[in-house]
Order: sequence, then structure tokens, then C-alpha cells
Amino acid sequence: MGFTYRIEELLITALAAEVRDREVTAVGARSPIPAAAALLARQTHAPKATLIILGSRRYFPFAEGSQEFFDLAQRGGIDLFFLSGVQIDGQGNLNLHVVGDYDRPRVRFQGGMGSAMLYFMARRVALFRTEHSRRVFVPQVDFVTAPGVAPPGVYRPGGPSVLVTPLCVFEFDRGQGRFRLRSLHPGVSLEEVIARTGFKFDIPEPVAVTPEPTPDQLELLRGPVLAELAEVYPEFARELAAGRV
Amino acid sequence: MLAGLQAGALGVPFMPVRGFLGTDYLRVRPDFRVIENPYNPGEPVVVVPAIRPDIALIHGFRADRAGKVLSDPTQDAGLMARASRFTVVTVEEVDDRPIDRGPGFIPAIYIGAVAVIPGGARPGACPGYYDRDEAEIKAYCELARTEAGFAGYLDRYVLTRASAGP
Repeated sequence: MGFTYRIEELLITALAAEVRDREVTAVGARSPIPAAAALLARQTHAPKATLIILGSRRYFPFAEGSQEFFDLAQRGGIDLFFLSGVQIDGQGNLNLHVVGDYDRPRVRFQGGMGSAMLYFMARRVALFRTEHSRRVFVPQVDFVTAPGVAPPGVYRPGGPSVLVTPLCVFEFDRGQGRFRLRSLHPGVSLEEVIARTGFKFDIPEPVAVTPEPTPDQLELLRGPVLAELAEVYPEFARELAAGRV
Repeated sequence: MLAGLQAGALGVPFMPVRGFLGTDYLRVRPDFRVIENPYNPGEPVVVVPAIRPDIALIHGFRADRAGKVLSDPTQDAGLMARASRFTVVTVEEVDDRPIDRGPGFIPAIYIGAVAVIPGGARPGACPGYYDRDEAEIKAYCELARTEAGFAGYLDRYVLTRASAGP
């Protein structure tokens, strides 16, 4: 092999694979890993992708504020968006609000920031978490900030597509409302994923292996992509460059 | 919240929003209601009430002598100003160069008062003037874990005159 990569770099290339050329890909606030993925995709397989990166000046194609971004999303103008969750459950529900009871939470977080709309309206939403554990991937979230599946009769052109973690990639079956394992990252066993996932998921036979970042991808990522990322996420770019993330 | 401010800015009582159905917002926010789309019978739609703040506090880049303001075009300061009954803008600087229409422009008609407070967005960022002070924000988060720490922070940075400077 002759090259090594960090797990964040594998998350970035796995998310970059979801970006398609000539589509509109948007990245929300406080999302350095998806931002890096979108920028990397534009340098590789998706040169004509339109990128919207909240917090960026260069990748913010609007005249006014973030309201214009939400308006575009609500009109169905976003093909790919990225979301995460404090908790994510096996039905694709996201919790960005509280751990514990809503009125007496053990921990309170920042809230949904539009994800209750974006999860419905972005055509594909790629989910990601940098921690793969049973406290994150739970049987049922404590608070539904955004649901994986909407009640019948609700207008919902979009929804979850994949869930990328430090161990594997799941894909979401919107009809069944369940995750199916798509691929295990190199060196990760199925048993480990099962042991560290609090929800049930479908397992194909055989299970694929997530492609590793290629030397070309790593060179672009560590060079021009981090340089661009530093506009919005200087600290993350510095730490990833130094291998400290 | 943006949808509520949009309704406030438009002067209409509520705003329909996409999504939100099947979420716990509807459980903890009784003011978020589900109505039937009057133009598509049978389709549920969530509505949120208009937000009409009495006062909006905004930090902008610069004001001119006519009270026009240049603010961060990626934020929603103009929307807040239009939704609110009275808007106070603090700015990094005021000078004689008239501000033209363009990104981040807020017309004087939406602004009640302007005050020059250099460093007014600290420890947050004011693009073109200063970046987020990450160390300061971390220090605040640490102090805010306890009542005494929070009170100490207020004493040091908010309640003393030294906090007025950059």
C-alpha cells in the first residue's frame, strides 16, 4: 500500500462519494467533514457540482442571508445535504435536542436548526457521525428532531440515503424505514459493528468493504481541499493537517 | 424561527413550513400547529406563528450618517430588522461614506438607533474586522458550567466598563 490515512479522511472520501456532478450539494453550519467531502468531490468526480457551504463566502451563492438558503431548500432546490445527530436510531430518526427527558434533560444541545425541514426536502440526506457507539446509535431516539420516515400523506420528496460512521457505511431503505449495511471499513468486522450499534439493521451477504481513500484523493484532500476548508474551518483544517483531529 | 420571522416581516399571522410532521416539535411546541392545506385537501401542513420582536439587537459592520447599515450578508440581520418593531444596531464604525444598496445593506427605514461599539460582536466573529475568539469561547463554556463561574464571567466582561472596548 505504501500510504496511510486517518479515519476522518475515510469518512470524508465516503461522504464525497455521495456528491454527484451537476447537482446542488449543501453543507450546513459546523460541518467540517461534509464540507471537506463536498470540496474534495468538486476536485475529483464532480467538477460541475454546485456547492453551498454555510459559513463560507466563496460557496454561498445568495444575495441575502441564510434565509435564502432555507427558501431554496424548501422549494426542493437541494439535491444532497448532510446531517448528524446526538442520537440516531434504526428508523433514521435524528435527535439534535436533548438526551433524557425533554423537560429534565441530562444534556441539552443546540436544536434542529432547520433539519426538521431539510430532512424532508433535500432529495438525499447523507448522515454521518464521528463516533460509532451504542450511546449514539440507539434503538429509539429520546427526541425526534427529524424523522427518518414521515407519516402517510405528508409531502416528502427527500430523506436519508446513507449513514457514514468510523466503522461502516449504512444505506437507508425508505420503504422499509430501516438501515442496511452497505460496507465495512477496511479491518472492521461485522461483529464489531453489531456490538457497537444499538439498533437492528439488515445485513447483506456478502458485505462489501468501503473503498480506502486513494493516494490522489489524499493528496488533494491534504493540499487544496484543506486550503479551501480553512476559510470556514481554520481550526479543523489545521488539526487535520497536523493529524490531531 | 426564520419562518416565524418571515411571517413577522410580512405582517401575516403565521407561516406554513415544509417538514416537521412526525417530529417531537409538535409535542413540545403547542404553538406549532398542523392544518390542512386549503389548496390540496387531505394534505397536512405545519404552521408556525409570526414572530414580531419588540426589539432587535443587531451588530453590523458600518453605518453612514443617514443611518443606513452594512451588515454581514450571510446572516439574517435585515430580516430581523423588518420583523421587529424597533431595531438597535451596533456597528464597528460610522463614517461619511454613504452606503449603497447591495449585499448586507439594511435601509435606515428599518432602524431605530445606531451605536458605535467596536468589538461589539466579541467573542464571536465580525468578518473583515476580527475572527471568532475560540479560546475565549472555550473559557466562557468552562465558566458557564457553574453559577459562580458564570457570575464571574459577567463581572469581568459584561458589567465592567472595560468590556466596552475591543
